[in-house]
Amino acid sequence: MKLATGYWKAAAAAVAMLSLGLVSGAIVAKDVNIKVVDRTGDKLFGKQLEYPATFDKVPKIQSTTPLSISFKAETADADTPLRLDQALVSFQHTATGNEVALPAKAVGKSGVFKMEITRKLFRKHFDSAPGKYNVALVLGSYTEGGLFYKLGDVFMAESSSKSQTSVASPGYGPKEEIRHRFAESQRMPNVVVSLVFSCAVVVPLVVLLAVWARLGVNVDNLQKEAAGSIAFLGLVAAYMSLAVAYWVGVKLFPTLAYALVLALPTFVTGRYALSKRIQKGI
Amino acid sequence: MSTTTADIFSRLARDYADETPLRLKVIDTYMVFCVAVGLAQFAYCLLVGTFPYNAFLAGFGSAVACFVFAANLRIKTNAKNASQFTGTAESAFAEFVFCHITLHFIVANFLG
Repeated sequence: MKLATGYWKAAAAAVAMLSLGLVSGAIVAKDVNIKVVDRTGDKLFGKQLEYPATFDKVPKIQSTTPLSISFKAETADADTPLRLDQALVSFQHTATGNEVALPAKAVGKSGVFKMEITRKLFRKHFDSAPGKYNVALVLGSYTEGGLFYKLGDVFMAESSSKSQTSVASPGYGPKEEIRHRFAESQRMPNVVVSLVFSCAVVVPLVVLLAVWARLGVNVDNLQKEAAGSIAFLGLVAAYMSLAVAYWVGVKLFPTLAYALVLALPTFVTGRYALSKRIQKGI
Repeated sequence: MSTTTADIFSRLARDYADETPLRLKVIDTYMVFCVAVGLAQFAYCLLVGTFPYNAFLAGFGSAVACFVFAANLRIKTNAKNASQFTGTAESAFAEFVFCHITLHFIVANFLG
């Protein structure tokens, strides 16, 4: 058994609410007229129904032979015209289960509603999905409850023009599935190229140290003022380590806090070490 | 006496080696190192592409900034410029260290 979908569920819920006595009264559809006419105006199919009768014959509908359904909604007990809050004609494909719900519009103030499948509507909803459809009235009122009235079956014929139209999205049915497109991964260079340029960046450092050694750069003067210099250089190294830690994972505000903590000792030791160098003439 | 380009460069190198103080030579070699590292990164960028762009900007910007700081340190520590700058070489070095600390935090933030 096919699961009910869309408005079939809503109608079932309305009937359930009615049975629980949550709403007053009931809706009755009267003078239900179903007509299929051809382009010259000749009637191809016509049927007048009273709830809960259905029509047996399956008329064939094309874009050139519009289907029109009119009906009158009244309350069961008061027998007075009813202003509906929802008046839909539901077409459910028997094979795929896809549902198209077209609104029925009120005609005047007499309580009569009419739905007509024009050529434009047919091409939009049924051209790309021909086949047999279950037709039903789905009526609803906030005060009087709901009505689900199955009228019968119709056959939506395939369009003779065979035009390649895109799949028509149902008015109130499910939408097309959304397919995410993730960003394509960037094309990375060859590992050898990466290693070569990594070496190209490291080699100048080796050359620099070699040239410094040849020039006679040394740390002998550190012994003349060891404490202050080592403390100052150690705190500068701590700052560089903090920068690396920030890059690796430490968040911004903790990093700023640590930097603030290191700031005063670094300033004090740096001032002390450099001033001692000036005093001693290093 | 005719002079060739080679003579000019050889005389320049000789005068540089003889007249430039050791401290300035150390800074000059550091500046050449910064240029070499920047050029290597730029060559990689031209060859392979800029992805990831932020990493390239951080690395290349770091090399350029280090060169600029070293140039400023050289200017301030050069004895020939003593009349224009009142501070000592040690104060210039302290500024150099402060600028580097700030630079490396910015680079670490931009590396991603």
